[in-house]
Amino acid sequence: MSAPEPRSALSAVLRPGHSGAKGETPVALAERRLAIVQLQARKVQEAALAAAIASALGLTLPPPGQASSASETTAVWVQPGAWLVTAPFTAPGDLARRLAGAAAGLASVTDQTFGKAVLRLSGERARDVLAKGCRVDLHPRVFGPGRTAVTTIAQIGCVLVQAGEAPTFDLVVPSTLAEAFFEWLEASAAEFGCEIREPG
Amino acid sequence: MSQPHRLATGGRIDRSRILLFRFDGRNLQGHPGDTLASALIANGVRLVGRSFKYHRPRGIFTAGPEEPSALVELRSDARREPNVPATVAELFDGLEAASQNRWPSLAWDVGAINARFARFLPAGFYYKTFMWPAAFWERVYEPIIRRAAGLGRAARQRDPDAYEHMHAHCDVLVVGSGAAGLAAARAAGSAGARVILAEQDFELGGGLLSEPAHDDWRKAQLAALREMPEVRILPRTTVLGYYDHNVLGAAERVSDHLPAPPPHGVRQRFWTIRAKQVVLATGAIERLIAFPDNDRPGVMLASAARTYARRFAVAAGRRAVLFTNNDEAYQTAFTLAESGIGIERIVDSRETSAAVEEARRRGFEVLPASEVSGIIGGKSVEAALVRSRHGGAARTVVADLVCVSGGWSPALHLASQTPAKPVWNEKLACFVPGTPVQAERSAGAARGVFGIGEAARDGHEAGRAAAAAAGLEGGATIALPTEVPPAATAIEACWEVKADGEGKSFVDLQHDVTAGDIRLAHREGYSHVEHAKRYTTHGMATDQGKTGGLVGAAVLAAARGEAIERVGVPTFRPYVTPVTIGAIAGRETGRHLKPVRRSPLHAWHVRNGAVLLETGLWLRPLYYPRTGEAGWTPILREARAVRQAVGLCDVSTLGKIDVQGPDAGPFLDRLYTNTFSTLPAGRARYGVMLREDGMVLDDGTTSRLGEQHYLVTTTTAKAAEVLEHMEFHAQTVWPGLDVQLCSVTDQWAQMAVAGPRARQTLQAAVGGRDLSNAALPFMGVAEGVIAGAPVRIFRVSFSGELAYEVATPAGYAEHVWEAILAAGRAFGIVPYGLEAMGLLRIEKGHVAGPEINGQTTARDLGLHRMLKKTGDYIGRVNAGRPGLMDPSRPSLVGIRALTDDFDKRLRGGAHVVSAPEDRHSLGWVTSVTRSVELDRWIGLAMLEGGIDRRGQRLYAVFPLKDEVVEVEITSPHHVDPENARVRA
Repeated sequence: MSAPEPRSALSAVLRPGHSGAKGETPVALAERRLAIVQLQARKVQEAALAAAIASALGLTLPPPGQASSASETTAVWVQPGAWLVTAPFTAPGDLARRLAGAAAGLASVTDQTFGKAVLRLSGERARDVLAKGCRVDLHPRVFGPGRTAVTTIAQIGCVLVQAGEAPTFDLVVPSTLAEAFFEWLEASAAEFGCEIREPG
Repeated sequence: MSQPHRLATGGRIDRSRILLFRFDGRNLQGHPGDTLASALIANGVRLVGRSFKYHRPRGIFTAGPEEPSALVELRSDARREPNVPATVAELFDGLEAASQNRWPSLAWDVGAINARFARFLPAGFYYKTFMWPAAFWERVYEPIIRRAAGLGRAARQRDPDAYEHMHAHCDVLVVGSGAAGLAAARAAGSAGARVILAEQDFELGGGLLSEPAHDDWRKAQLAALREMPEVRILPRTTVLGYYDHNVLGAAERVSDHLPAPPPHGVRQRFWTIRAKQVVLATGAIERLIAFPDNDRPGVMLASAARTYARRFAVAAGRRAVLFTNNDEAYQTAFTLAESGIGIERIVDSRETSAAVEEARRRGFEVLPASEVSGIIGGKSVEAALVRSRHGGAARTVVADLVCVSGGWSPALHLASQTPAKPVWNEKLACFVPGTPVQAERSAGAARGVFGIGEAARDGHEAGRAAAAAAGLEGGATIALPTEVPPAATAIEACWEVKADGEGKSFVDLQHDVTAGDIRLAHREGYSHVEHAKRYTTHGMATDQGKTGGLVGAAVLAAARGEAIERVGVPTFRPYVTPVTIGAIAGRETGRHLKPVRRSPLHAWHVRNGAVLLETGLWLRPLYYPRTGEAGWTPILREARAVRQAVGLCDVSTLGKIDVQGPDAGPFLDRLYTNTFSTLPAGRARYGVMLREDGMVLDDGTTSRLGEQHYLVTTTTAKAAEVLEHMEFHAQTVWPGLDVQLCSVTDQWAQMAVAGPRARQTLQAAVGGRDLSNAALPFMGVAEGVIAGAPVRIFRVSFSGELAYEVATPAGYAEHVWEAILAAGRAFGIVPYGLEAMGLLRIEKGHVAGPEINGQTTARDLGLHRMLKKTGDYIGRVNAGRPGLMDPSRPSLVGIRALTDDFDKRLRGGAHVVSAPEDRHSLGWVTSVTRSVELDRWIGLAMLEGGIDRRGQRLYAVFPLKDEVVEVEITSPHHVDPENARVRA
């Protein structure tokens, strides 16, 4: 018996449609259903781990404040010697097993596919929405695509990744707080209007 | 006639539109561009409030946020807001305002009798008059004083509007949009800086708004600034706090000028601004002079009268007297005269000056070396008493407006919060900002550079320097105001006109503090400016003494016989002007005070009627009542199902920490009082963790999933603290250990399947996997598949029954939960909540939060067998301190009510005593429940002598409710003390 379709922490609240004002520059919001793994280098194995991951996945483990991608896999630095690696979801544990295989003896691997939720916020006013709770300066002069921050937004721990120039941000939050985070995002976007899209 | 005091021409108001508003029930009219104050003046309303202490009639004193007197309540019902200065309230159609601090009416106020008893209400009166008898303070004096003194009334209903926070970053923050601020913003903006220009007014321009000659320049600057994409202009935004690291707070009144915020809009927004550089172009505030009855409606700051005439096109009076100690105020006389207001006299405290000559040349009647020594008129000025400073009788000058100017004080509140100590400038007779200590500079009048042209030049330089300091050199040269009359700054300080008779000379109009009160404070030993402030409450009202603060300090200096620079002014603190609690709270109110954390099974609980309880951030099911069930019924039903058949409980909130790495075992050995490196893979073990001080930190089961992989579980409440504790030790205490930690609390949903039929239930759900004792013994760990989802099965028990905890990746929580419920239906399975779980653990005698309260040791809790004899662990040494080893320390026991009458209830927190009336407490009850096994109240308690008292009959007393219950002391394990069931 294969695994059933998993249920997202946001399925109860995130329904496609429009919320908030009918503004001219609404932001767009969608859940990204990804496989997520925390990769933590073993003591003094960071370089070996980076080489192993580069060779197995073609993925560079980025330095602090940055993300790097290879095909559909992305690594985000989250703490010294640790990265969140995301990839399209296939089956439970797949990505974790893949990484554990590639990093055997070099890293501790923990599946966080259901421990985190990822919301993608995009649109001209996305920075203004985030500024209502995010202390990080996201201005193009100091931030940009590929830049990341580990921060707190609306009292919720968040890994923020700028995924595109538009601007587009991926917001990785604890799954048990995802609904609360969504409520905050929706309220903060209300003045501009918010298009809620199908999960991707 | 509508708006009888509206001037025929001029002003920045839109005469084409009429706005209707109400003040104290009167229907009045104004125009867009008016403030409530200017509209009231236009309508001839002079009496707008009663003072704080003496209930003296008060009018409009200023034209800005420094207003001490004209405080009103705005709006009604849930939107009613007290203490709004009418001088900043932007007029809108339908605005409702009411005067405050009066009863029964503004014109006829009973509280005014306080003024008759003024001799009994001197400074510091509440420290001395009402001291005796002590019991009277709370019940009699304080309520009376609070009713009489006090300002407006806050709304009683919930605020219907939304507020929000905003974080902003910039190279240069410019505070104030007068000549200096505009030039600074323009200079910095043209250098390419990210600029925020904050202006408290709804119109940008500051003092320029009263200078029609410079309006083209103002408009040109604004047009240029609006073209710059990196310049953000924030009108209606008061920067009100300057904090460390160049962080500033500001309140934006987004919708205060509207009857209600637009849909999806907010009422106010609190900005936290992180600026590389700050230019403070906050201007200056005119000062009052303390003369007798200087608070009468019709006495007004000179610059305010000018602003009302020029900006709002209203005449604050028909016949005016100007009382000044400086040249600048003469501009008011000239302006008012141009507006058709009669200038009866110019009363100048100085012997002579250039302005005196100029005024005489223009035909004004000037009285040099003179002063206003009193006012005739109560609810409105009828005449001023004017006398020579060289002596002689006062003469009466009929007037309805007395314009007063005691000189100008730079608005250095933000600068002094940085905290640059203000410096006295003798020539200007004011304090100016001290040497900056943060990345800021003051410009224009805010640092004593007066005059439009001078201020603009100063602002331009400051803006350019600020941008350069932020790393942006250059920028365009901008045209500065061309027509620049030399700033008339000549001044000779005149702070006070001493009263001949009983007249009160106020230094603080809002708090009714007189010059005499300041001298009294000095006489009574409160001579330090900070002490005098607190003793008299001078400067402690909502206006913070902006118009009279320095005057009070000068009166104090005179009383001390010292120079004012040695006396100083009290420290300025945030907020510069009052800010609503709503703006500070932002969206974090009500159920959004803290984010709500939801279990992956939350939706199921809600669909199935669970009663939910907030525990920390979590919302957890308390119980699942069936139709008609109330009180304890559902709890007892759920608990009985677990004891007799099988129950299913969501325990996803338990903290779960992945511990991996070659040194994971030794790491846990050091953290726990017991050993984990010897635990075989596929097994779980109960563990206790101490704090460094020897007290129990937390307990829980830890499983070994692989050679280098453990899974630690913590209690729900301590999940974050335990992870922090572990991270701290991994990172700083034992950096040599190769161990990696990761919270997996949210990754895994977890559910307890408990009861004599738990194995049969789970067997049916899990399919082929063998769950027999041989295959999965007590404390065994296995993997399996339920409903197609991967699961981990832990044979652990909190209830004391045969039990398993099943964990599955959170995305499959409902699938697995439903599958177990379906499998258990044949065995009578019920979901059970937090209450039944608590009941079961108390019956079983497991300790939890009420026992592990940070004050108990492992020995206290009967967990001493968990303390390993060899090998070190966190807390070992301190746990061995004599005080913690003292055998007389209370330790854990069970208690049982002797009666089975449930109305004789046990309560947590009850004291345990030998006899009902005994005052000596032997200990206290920590947890109680109704027992389904023993059919009576039972509990756990911490008791002197502990388990040695087993069998004794004592009393649990709860004096607050006058309850006494006779109890028997027992083992904490009320149920199955042999632990046979969990191994069944």
